[in-house]
Amino acid sequence: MEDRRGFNPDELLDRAVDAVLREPIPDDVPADRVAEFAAAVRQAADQPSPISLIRRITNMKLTTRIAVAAAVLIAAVGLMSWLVPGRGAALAFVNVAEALTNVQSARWKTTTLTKRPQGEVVTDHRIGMFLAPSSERMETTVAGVPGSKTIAILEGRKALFLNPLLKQATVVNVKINVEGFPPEAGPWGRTFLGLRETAVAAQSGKLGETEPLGTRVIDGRRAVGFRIQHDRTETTIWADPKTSLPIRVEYAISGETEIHTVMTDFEIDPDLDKSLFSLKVPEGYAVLDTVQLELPKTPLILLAKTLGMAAELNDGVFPSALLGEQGHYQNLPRLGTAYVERKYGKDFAAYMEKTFGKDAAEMPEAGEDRTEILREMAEIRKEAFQLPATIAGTHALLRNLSPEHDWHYAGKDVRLNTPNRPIFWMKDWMRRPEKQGKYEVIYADLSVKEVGPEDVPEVPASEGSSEE
Amino acid sequence: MTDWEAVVGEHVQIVRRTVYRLVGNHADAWDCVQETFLEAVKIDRREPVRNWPALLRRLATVRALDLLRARSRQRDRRSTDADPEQATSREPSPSCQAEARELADRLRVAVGQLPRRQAEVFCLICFEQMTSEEVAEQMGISPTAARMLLSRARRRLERLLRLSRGAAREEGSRT
Repeated sequence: MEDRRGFNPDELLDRAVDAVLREPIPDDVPADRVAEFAAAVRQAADQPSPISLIRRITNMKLTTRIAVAAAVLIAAVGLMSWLVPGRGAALAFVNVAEALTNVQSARWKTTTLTKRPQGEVVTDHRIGMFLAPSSERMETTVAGVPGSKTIAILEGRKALFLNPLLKQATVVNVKINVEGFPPEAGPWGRTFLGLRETAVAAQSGKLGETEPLGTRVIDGRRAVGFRIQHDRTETTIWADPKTSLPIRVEYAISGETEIHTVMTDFEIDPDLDKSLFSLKVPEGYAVLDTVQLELPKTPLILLAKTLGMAAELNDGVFPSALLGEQGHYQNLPRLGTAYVERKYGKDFAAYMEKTFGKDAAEMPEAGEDRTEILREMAEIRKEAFQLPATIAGTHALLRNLSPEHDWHYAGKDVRLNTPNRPIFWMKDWMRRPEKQGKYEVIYADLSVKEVGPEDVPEVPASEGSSEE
Repeated sequence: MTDWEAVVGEHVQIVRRTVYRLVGNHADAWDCVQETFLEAVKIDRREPVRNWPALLRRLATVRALDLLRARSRQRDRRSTDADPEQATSREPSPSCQAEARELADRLRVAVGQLPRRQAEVFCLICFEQMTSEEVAEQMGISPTAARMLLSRARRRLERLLRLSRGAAREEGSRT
């Protein structure tokens, strides 16, 4: 043994190690007990027990969890709510829009239950705060995971994620290349603003079908309810008939993975200190990382990326459909997990633990090892932020495809990188007047180009606004 | 498909010895053995295991260290740091063996106070006689990092042993 070759009886530690090694160990376990135990182990191994990525994430060390939690937050509160205009539910009572527009600050509680296909349920609790004009603070705790609290301070294009336990901070800046996007607007801090804009959309006449639910008593208060079914999302809003302000809001997303989010305990215009929304790293916190996210000028680039990921996972062949039961849209919730597992091995948490799970005190203080570890950490963290954003953007785009977009999918049976082969095309996603008549096209090499009416692809599409 | 009867049959005694060496009693050792194999089941689900003895010895060491650390925390709460007998529950022995046993127990207590990775590397190299390359592969770190952790562990253990010897002597002189 290399480190005992130099055994020195004068050294206390060497003598102690020697004493441990020389201690007698009691007799072996009887054979019948071993056999009984082996049978029990086999039985345990036969039990189906898939471990989801989310469960693995909750089991991670906190130092890694903050980055992943932050990434999930992007998908939850960011791109979904703004990427495609005209989205969302509508309220039948227009006063709600006015009431919400006048709100200067708010506090509420959010509980999200995510039910996975295997039946596993993950619950997280958040306390949300809003300060006009556009600041938001979310304090998230994963149920049953002590010390899992993370704080996200979000405003426009900047976000600060804090881990109060480890006193670590992650700063995320978003660069938006979207043409025509308002200069100050960004994906962050959209929870309360999104609710407000939904009400405004109702007022402006962009209404979906709204089902009145009548009156109900919630937390001792009379509330008027409305349900809006939009694709696979069902939004239910219960509002105080006197103030028109929300008392309870529910979002239910059906599909293979079911997500049910409830916002309750609304406090309107409470006194909230500005410092709660400061994007400055608090004193005593170490900056774990600064991440620069870039959003492309069109969501078709995001769709192209996810189609490429899906093809990579399918022997190089694009999905047979975009929508429908087996379509790309339905598989998006699993795509990230599958892609990460393929790239980093089946056990993402083990990979993260091996790579990043080093206590600060045990990190090499200098040298190649440290440089290599830090470089890899930075790359993975960047991907941890970018991947959910890409998937969320695709999700939002597909959810909002309408006949007006004149969209067509022709990726069925097409292989990745087939030359000059269009697989998807549609009119401008924002329906901007200056883009009238133009189409954006995704090719099998994942490039995205804008073409005029004369260059609209002529290959047969298997799915689209007017199916051929 | 893993033949668990074979894996358990072939390695259970090695695992038990690994654990016993650290925890020092039967009941705790058997608990750790069971947890070790259940953890191995989970790992086997995720990826094929290439080196069962190395993996199992590492898992066993980690489980045993968890137990040592828990004992260390209990001792801290009871403020009886200098009482190595509380680490184990064995009968006294003749004086020459008693000295070695006392030293071994002090080392166990000290190992329970090390940072997790330092303790793991120390036990795998010094007790399980694995090379730093083998340990590095199991822990997903470089051999250099493993050697560095070992070096830090040794320095800290030497200090802890000296402190506990002083405390034990002081205790002896009072009684």
